[in-house]
This record gives sequence, structure tokens and C-alpha cells, in this order.
Amino acid sequence: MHSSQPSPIAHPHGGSETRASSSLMLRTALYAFGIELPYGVLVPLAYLRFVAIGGVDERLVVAMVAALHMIKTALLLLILGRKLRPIEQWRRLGAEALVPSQRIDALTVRAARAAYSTPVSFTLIWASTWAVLYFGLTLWLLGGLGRVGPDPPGGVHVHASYILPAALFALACFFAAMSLGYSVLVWLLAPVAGAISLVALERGLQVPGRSFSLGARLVLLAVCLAGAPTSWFSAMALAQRDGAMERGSVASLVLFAVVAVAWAPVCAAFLSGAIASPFRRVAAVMDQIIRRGDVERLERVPIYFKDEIGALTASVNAMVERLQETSARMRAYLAERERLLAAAAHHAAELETVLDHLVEGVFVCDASGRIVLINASGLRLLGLEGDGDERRPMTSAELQRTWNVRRPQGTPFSPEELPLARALGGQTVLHEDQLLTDPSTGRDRLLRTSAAPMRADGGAVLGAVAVARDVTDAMQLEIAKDQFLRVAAHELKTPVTIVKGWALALLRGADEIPERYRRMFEALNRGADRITRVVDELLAVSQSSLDLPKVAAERFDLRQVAAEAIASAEPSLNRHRLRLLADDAPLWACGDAGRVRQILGILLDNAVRYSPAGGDVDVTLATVPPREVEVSVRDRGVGIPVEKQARIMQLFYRAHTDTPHDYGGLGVGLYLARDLIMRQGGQIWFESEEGRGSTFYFRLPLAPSC
Amino acid sequence: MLTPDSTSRADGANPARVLVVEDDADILELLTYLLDAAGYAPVTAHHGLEALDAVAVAQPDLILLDMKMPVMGGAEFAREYRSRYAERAPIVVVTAADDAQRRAAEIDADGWLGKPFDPDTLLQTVRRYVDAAARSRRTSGQ
Repeated sequence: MHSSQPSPIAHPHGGSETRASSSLMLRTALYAFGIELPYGVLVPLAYLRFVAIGGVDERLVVAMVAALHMIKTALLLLILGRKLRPIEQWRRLGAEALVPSQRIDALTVRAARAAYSTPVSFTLIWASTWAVLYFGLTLWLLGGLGRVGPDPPGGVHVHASYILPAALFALACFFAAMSLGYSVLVWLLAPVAGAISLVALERGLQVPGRSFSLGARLVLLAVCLAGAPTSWFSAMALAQRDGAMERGSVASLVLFAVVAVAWAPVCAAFLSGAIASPFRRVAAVMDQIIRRGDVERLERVPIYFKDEIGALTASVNAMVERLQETSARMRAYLAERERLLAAAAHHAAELETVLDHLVEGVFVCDASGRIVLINASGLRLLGLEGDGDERRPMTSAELQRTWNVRRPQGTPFSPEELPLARALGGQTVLHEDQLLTDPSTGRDRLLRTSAAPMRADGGAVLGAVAVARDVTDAMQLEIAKDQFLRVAAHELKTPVTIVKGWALALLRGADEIPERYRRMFEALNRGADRITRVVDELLAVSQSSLDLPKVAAERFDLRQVAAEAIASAEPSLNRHRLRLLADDAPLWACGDAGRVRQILGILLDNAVRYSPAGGDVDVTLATVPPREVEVSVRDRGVGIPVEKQARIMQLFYRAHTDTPHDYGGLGVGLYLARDLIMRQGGQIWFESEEGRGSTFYFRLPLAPSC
Repeated sequence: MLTPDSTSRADGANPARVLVVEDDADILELLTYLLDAAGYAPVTAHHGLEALDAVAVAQPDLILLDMKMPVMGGAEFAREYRSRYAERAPIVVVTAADDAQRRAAEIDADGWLGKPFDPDTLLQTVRRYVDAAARSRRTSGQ
């Protein structure tokens, strides 16, 4: 019959070609009145046969009917034009440039309303014209008004009995026109409505128009289809009974049959086409969804009717929209996932590169203790570079066994004592040394390892990471240096022993030697003592850097230790006075008495050395509640310049180098003192003012802490 | 000549024999002088092997032992000496090593003295061990 495609109405913004603005109107008029025309001819002919009134001039009647049809058609065209104007205006929008969006919206709504309501509203008017025309005409003919020639006896008048057949005939015409007109208009306008609905959907507009149930429409259509012939026959029967009409001839029956047979299928054809069209579109969309799965390219189904079919298509459209949304989300999600994966891979590659270029070996284990990562340096440390994976240790226990991991002194670790295992237990390990042996070469390596647990946000240990540095060479150098220092110290002490020994041996006979010589021997002895002190300091620093924990934690009388330190410093004094400011009672502290004596010796030596003009050096002991004791050594010497105070305890740093206050020394004493006091769990600090003197403080735990 | 300090002077009648094992001639002379002046009878040896011979001849009351010596060091001498004699004189290690005390403990010596030393400290140490050895000898002799 006709194409299921909607009228090619251009999108108002598409700017595409639009048909001539009048084409819809023309088409509608052509179809509507083109179909009406044969009926307009056939019906009067059949009609004249049934209302066969003698003496009527058939030509006159046909001419009259034709003329009335012409007038009626012209009027109807005007009405139709008015009704379709919004649609025409809407279609013209495509050709106009720069139309305000609001106007497009308003026109779209009006056009949609026109497309949906016109079939019913215009058909009503159209059918009514038929009814009115034939009611009047029939009445006129039955009443003899159209007769030519002499009037029948009794005069010409409209008999009351004529009204009913005339009304029935008009009703038949109404029903027939109604069903035919509606079918044709729906067939023409439904696609237009659908096209407009698509634009409305795209513009986010509510599709307007009154909803009209399909069921109601079909019932009304059935009434029309059934009512038309019924009314016709009733009218005929009544007219014959009353003698207003001749009994039917064969010709008139044939005419009736032609009219009826042509009319009902025409209605059905147009209507079925219009109704089937949206279903075909829906089916096509469904088919696409099921078969191709390509949701992105699905089109919306036009809403041809504002009824159950329209609701169905709207639902299909909503479904398509949802599918497309889901599909778009899925695509976006997949794209994002792709991007994240690529970024993660990039980061991983970066990290791996960084890890492999680290000088330090990195070992990572998971929560179960399984070693999951060893970087290139780590493999090198284990002597595994260039090897396959088969020799890689899987756990720290295996690492410990195979590489014989042990303390630098040689005692082996148990597997749970290894840094990685301890980090897994939640500990942080800092700079601990391990000795290990490469099983394939037998070479020993000394590693300095730090390890820490890796925690989740909640604090649960996810694994551990250990970072190890090969300090074999550094340690060998250190050992060589220490060895050298020991040998050098030994070699220095031997001659010093001779000098000191003979000087003191000679002084033992002091009564017999002149004062001059006595002073010389004493100077020899002091010189020997100074060499001894330098040698001892160097040895102490080398021991200190070896990190040998030789510090005792014992209960000792701090007062006695301080007194001894002062006593041993005194012989070398001439201008200074050392004072001990403390209670007479013993003061029990916790630490290493020998080391504390050493610290006090260093501080006293500095105090005397840097107060060349002499003066008092005060050693003060005081308890600091709740459980500490504070020792201070105060001099009235040259003091330390503020800008040098921060570095004063660094190894080999000497604040007064190359100044008038350079009184010698290696720059070791304070470093050593700080190191010793920290190893006893104490702290050391100082206050100093240039030109006024310095006070050094240190604190130790009180005896009950031991 | 010089008169040694009377407090650390030994009994003149029967001077205690002190074996001094020391490779450095100057220190050996210093020690000999100090001991002699204090009334002891010093016997000298330049290394462990000589000392073993000297022990056989002189039967010292005390041995002052250096650790680092050529031919035979202090540690080896101490081991030999202990293995040869049941009745032994006390050994005092005299060394310039910075860990003198540990070294003394290693060879199970009776005492130690770091170099450089004060003559007073030396003589006090010598006297303490000689007296103890004499006491124990008297006790075992009775």
C-alpha cells in the first residue's frame, strides 16, 4: 500500500532540504478528496436509484450534489489548511536560520498537537458535512421538492414519515465518511506526528496531544463500519414501506454493492497501514537489540499515536535510552579502566626501573613471609645476577639458611631475627649489619640493612620491605683503619713509656736533683701524658665508630667518680681551681663509671684548655626529679661563638681552629663525650657565651633504673 | 744514686726475683732500674723463648710479661709456662695495647698494667703480687 517511512520532515535545525511547504496539505487534500470524489459521484447515483422518485431530473440532482460537494470541499480545505498550519510552519523552520530555541520548542509542541488531533477533529467535521448534505437533500427529494412537472394531488409537503429515512441515510453517510476519513488522515498524519515526536524527544519536550485509547478508537470504528450499512438499509426499507421509493432493482443492488465493497477495504487498508507502521519500527529496534547488540546506533521509534501504541513506543524509546546510557557508561568505564591500567603499568615500569637502578638491594615480602620482590641490586648482593629464578630465595628462612646470614661477630641469626622477619612482626629496623656468604663463591659480604613493615590504612601489616647496602668494602677500610690506629697507638705508647717512665723515675729522687732539672722532668712527664691522651682519644674514636657496645649499665657513686675525675685533672693545673659542688652523700647513678669518668675528663680538659687566664671550674651535681641526675661543668673561659655552636659536637670539628684561642686538640673530645653519654641512655648539651665561658651539662638515669 | 721510695721497697735480706720479659731494650732497662732500685732482683728476657730458659734457671717470684714480642710472644709464653710448671709465679701483663685488661684475661694472667705507666703504680702492683706469692709460698712450705 504505502511506505512505512515517515514523511521526510526535516529536523528544524538540520538545515536539510525540506519539501515544498504545501506538500502535506496538497497530499492530504489529494488523498482525502480524491477518495471522496468517486464516492461523491457513486453515492448520489446509488442514492437516486433507491430514492427513485418519479419525475425527478437525475442530471439536475447530480449537478446539485456535485456543486454542493465543490462548496463543501472548498470549505473543508480551508479548515484543513488552518489545522495543518502549525505543521507547515514547523517544517519551514528547517530552512530558516537562527531561530530562537524557545520558538522551535513552542512550534514543535503546536505541530505535534495538530498532527495528533487533526485526524479525529477534521474527520468529525468532514463526516458532519456529509450527514448535513444528505439529510437535507434526501428530505428535499422525498418531499417532492425536486420534482419537475405538475405537483401530485394533495399538494407538496414534507411528510413527517420522510424525516426518519432521511436521518438514517444521513447517519449512514456520517458513519461511512467518519471511518474512511479517519483511516486516510491517520495514514497520512501518523508518520508526521511520529517525526515531530522524535524532534520533541530530542529537544527534551513532553510529547503533547490528548491521549486516546486504541480500544475506544477501534470500538468507534467498528460502530461506524457496522452503522453505515445498517443505517443505509434501514433508510431504504423505511422509504420503500412508505412508498417513497421504488422497490430495489438489480442495478441499484449492484451499485450498493460496489460502494460498500470499495469502501470498507479502503478503510481497512489505510488504517492497518497506519497502525502496523509503529509496530514494524518497534520490531525493527527489538531485532537490532537482540541480533546486533549495537546499542549506540539504535534510533528512536517515532510516536505515531497518543495511545497504547504510543505508550509502547515511548517505553521502547525509554528502554533504548536506558540501554544507550548503560552502554555509554560501560564504554566510559572501560575506557577509564583501560586508562588506569595503562597508568598503573606505566607506574609499575617506572618503579621497576627506579628499583633496579638503586644501589641498595631491595627485598619485599608479603604478609606470609614469602619474598615477592628482589631488585637487581638485591640479586647482585646475593650473587644471583644473570641467574634464572631457580636459586632465588623464597622466604627469609631460606635466605638465612642458604646464605648463612649471621651477625658481624659470626653468631648466626635465627630466621625470625632477620630484619625482614622482624619488620613483618611490626618492628622498624635501622642500619643493622649482617654477614652473609655467597654459597657459590664462598665470598663473605657485610650488609647494612634497614627494614620496615608495610601497613594498610587500618594498620594491618601487609608485608615488609628491607633495604640493604653492601658495606663490605667500607667495613674492610674501617677495619684496616682501626688496625692501623691500634698498631700506631702501640708504637707510640712504647716510646712514651720510656720518656714518662724515666722522667718519673728521675723525679723519684727529687731531693737529690736541682729544681731546674725537676721542672724539666715534670715537663717531660706532662708531654708524655699529652701524647697518651691524644692516642687514647684516637683509639676511642675508632672503637666508637666500630659501634661496639662496651658500655656497662651499673649502679655507681657519681659523686665519687666526679671527685676522681677532678683529682686526676688537677696535677696538670697551675692557674685553675676545680671545685665540686655537691652534697657529701653518695649519689647513685646508673651507667658506666669508667665512661662517665672519661666524659668528665674530656669536659674538664676543655674547660681548663679554653679558660687560659685561669679561674674557677665548677662541677655541679644535682638530681632532677623524678629519676635523673644532672652534671654540669662550668668554666669562665673564651666561650663558643654562636655560629659555631651547632657543629661543636661533630667529629674532628674544632671551633677555635686558627683563632687566637686555638689551644690545640684533635676535635674528638666532645664527639666522644656525646657518643658515650648517648650510649648510656643519657643526653648532653651546653650553654655558651663568647667571652664569658661555657657550661656543659649531661644527664644520666638515677640508680633505680639499673 | 737515687733512693727508691721506701714504701715500695722490698725486703733486702732475700730479694724477690722478678722476671721481666720485654723486647724493647729501653723499657727493659727502665723496668730493671726501677725494680733494682726498689730492692728486687730483676731477671731479664727479650722474648718468650728466653723467658722460658730464664724461668728454668731463676725460678722467679713474679713475671712481668710484654705481649708483643719477636720469636715468642707473651700469650705463647704463658701457655708454655703453664704447661711446664705446676707451681707457677703470678704473671702481670705489661702492654701498650689499648685493651690490656682483655688481653690479660685471655691468657688468664693474674694482673695487668698499661703502658705508659707511673713507676709508683708499677711498684705497688709488683709488691702486691710478690707479697701474695711469698705468703702462699710460706703457707705451702710449712
